[in-house]
Amino acid sequence: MNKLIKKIEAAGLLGRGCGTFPTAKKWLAVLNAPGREKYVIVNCSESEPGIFKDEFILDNYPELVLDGLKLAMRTLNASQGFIYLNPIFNSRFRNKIQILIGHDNIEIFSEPSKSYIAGEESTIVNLMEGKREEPRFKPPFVLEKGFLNKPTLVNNCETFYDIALINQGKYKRERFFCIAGDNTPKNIFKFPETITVKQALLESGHYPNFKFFIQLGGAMAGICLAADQLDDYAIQYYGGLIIHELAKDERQLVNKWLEFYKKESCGQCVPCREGTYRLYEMYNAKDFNHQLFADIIFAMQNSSLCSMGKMAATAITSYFENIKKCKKR
Amino acid sequence: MQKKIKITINHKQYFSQESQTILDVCQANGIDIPTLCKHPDLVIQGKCRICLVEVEGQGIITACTQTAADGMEIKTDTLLVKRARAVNLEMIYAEHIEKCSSCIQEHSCALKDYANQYGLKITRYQDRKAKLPAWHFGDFIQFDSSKCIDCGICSEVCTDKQTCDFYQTINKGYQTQTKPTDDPKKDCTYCGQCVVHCPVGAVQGVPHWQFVEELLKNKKTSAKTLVAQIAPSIRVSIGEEYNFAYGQITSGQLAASMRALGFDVAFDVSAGADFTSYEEALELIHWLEAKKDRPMFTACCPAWVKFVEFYYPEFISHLTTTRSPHIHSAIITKTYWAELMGKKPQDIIVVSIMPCTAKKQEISLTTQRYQHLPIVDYVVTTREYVYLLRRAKIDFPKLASKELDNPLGNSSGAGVIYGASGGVMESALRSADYMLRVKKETGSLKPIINGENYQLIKNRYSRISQSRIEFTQVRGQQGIKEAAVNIGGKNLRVAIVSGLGSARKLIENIKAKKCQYDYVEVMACPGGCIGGGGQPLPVSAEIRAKRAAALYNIDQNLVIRVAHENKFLLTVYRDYFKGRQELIEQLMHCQYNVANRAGYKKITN
Repeated sequence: MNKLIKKIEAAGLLGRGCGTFPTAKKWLAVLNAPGREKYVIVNCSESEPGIFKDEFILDNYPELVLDGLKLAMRTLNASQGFIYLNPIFNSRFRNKIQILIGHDNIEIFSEPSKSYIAGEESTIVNLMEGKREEPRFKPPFVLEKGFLNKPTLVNNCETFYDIALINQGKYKRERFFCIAGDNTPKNIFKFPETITVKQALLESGHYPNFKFFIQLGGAMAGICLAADQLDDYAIQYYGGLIIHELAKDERQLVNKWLEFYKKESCGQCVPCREGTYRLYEMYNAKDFNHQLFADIIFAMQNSSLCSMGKMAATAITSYFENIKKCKKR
Repeated sequence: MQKKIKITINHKQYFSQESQTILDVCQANGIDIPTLCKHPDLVIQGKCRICLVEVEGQGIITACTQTAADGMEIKTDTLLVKRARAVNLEMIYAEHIEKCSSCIQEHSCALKDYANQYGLKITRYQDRKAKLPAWHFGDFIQFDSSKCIDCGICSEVCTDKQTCDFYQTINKGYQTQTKPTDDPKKDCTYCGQCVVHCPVGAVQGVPHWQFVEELLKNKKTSAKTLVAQIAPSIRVSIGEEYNFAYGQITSGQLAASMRALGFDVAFDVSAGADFTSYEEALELIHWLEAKKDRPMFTACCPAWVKFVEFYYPEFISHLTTTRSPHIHSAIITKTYWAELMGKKPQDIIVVSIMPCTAKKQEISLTTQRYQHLPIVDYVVTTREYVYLLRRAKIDFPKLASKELDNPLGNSSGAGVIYGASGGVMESALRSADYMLRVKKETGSLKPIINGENYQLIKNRYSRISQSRIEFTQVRGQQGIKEAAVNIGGKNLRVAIVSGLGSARKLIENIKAKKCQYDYVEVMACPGGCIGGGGQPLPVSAEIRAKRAAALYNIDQNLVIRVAHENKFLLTVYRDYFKGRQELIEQLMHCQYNVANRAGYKKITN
């Protein structure tokens, strides 16, 4: 096996997007995929509200991201590299990155509209091909048939940063972790990935002194956890958390989530396109049909085309399951 | 060679090929899985999410997107599968405004079938598309977006198969809408492939059945003679609407049904097709001798003609000026037959029953008029015709066969195979071969134009009587077929094309001088008219092949298999045309014009 991939495997690095797929496995799959032309894409979409680690990295360590990308291109013998920047990053960091690219065959790619689904890897590939902004069904995965149907590695911005560190022997199994929310200043920390959420809150000095619950993983896709659940979760799989006041109005909160997904659904598959619409409609109807509401969520979780549809009800279901009972206490 | 694999479905073992999807395997083995967006002609969409199955270790997945793998354990009817499937189907129902009472596909509706089969409630949710518009493409295709379930099939077939790209998808989420494009460089050819692929009947030909029904209703008080004529291909497809076997021949029942509906006369477009073959063969010979730019293109297919007129106007001069078969039979009806019967052309109404939506456009053209009258008055598709029969409570399967009416009820086998890709070419080649032999022996084409039957006059040792009938190399379902044929001692390079995507490829190749042909047949629909936009649903390559085979079967069993032996045709040439070139030109030929974009208009729902 290639030396670098071996090192990545030994480091146990998981993708720093929301998929948390083992990075070494992904690289190997692309490396071993048949075909001469291969591509590498850095995903700097960071579309999850409340998560701003990629922004922090691009602002402070862009050279490490570029380093990671170039390492990947060399390791996989890729013909071209791309950096996908969301429109805000594009206006802020494009020039800086352009200089760092140097003479390598790397291109910055961006789209004028910032949408949630653009963080999904096959959606980026579709956008790069000038197609509609929507995910592809899988399999085939982009690592076999990605950009122009060629094997393509798409990793998150932070993953490439970590790879640069691994290559330099400086990686310490740490990750960036964002904390934000009610009565909390927006802040970012670097923690060992094995610490629990509670430790992260305590060590950051952001453990709330008011009744609260948190949303782990972001303000839209994040799972809602009560204060007494924080020891059960390590931060390893999550880019950050949002602190919510427990007293927050349920209807407002749930509607915010429902409206967001209703607006952000790409519209391609039935459970997500129709489900996000129907959930919102039902939740705000006079006679709320619990069974049907649960049925729709079940169909979304189990039959949506992409993970966005599958995750779209995570915040709501976990809120009902974990938080609602705390409010009654 | 592909590896064989073993999988388990509902506790039973099945063998399959490695590349087959779970859906393929289930369908091949008669295991029920609902699907709306996976069409056998098209790539996987993966959008409707109802072909759900449970796979051991993977949970619920869509059967259309997952290839079967060795040792896979699949269950198609678990409680979880049924639950998700029911939710998705019921949400699809809420997208589709049910207009069943006015829907011509009421009797072949997948949505209704699934509702019954799985005990689902069509009205679980409030419909959300009531206010969405219907669109008319030209005046010939109507797309009711309040029935659309956003499966993407119409776009797929229009963009990837037909390369016209007339549909666009706008917005996202629940506001996603499919609508006609605003791109001025794109226009609809009215081929109707979206119509025969739409799983929910949202796209149809703009209906003419209601006008026909009205005419039939007022028949007693009207002086009009109502003539119906059937296209070659529908005799082998209409039975599918009544669950007959694919390819069953129903000409006799069709004749009886036309009579039962109240038409005065039941004619056959195949007879018109003989005129087309005859004229086109003559034109081909002139073309070859005049050393005009090659190739000569057929022009029986109005969607193809529109395609050339709009997308490739520089090739208009390559189209044969010979009109199409139903126009030919109709114009003979309104002229020769009218005189024979002592009727005025304006007192005859001709209704064509066609496998085609584009024919609705063809009859509206100013170039397809006779003495300012439309030559054909109405075109109903096969589905519209069945709808008329159902409304009139005529039980098609129970009708006793009747003969089609003379004189336009008899055709040669050549006139029948027009319905299959390659049929027009083969029919014209049969006659062109004969005509060239006549010319060789008599020194001119005069006997042909005068309607003399040399085949009969000449003894069997003459080369004329040895003219060729079968040109099997031009048959088949492929998008582009090429062949070298010899007619009357001339070697021709020919191509037969079906599907507009293949047509575009061929034209581009001709433009790039990558290929050269003398004569090319093009049909806009895959497999020719047997795969036409007005045919019964469903369609697939297999079904089209069966329909085509049935047409060749009819041809094989007929005594007269070539246009130039059709006695009625020879009579018309001899007694009516009398060699008057101007008259022949006026009745049998037309011109084509550069087409501007007709686009679409919005019809409020």
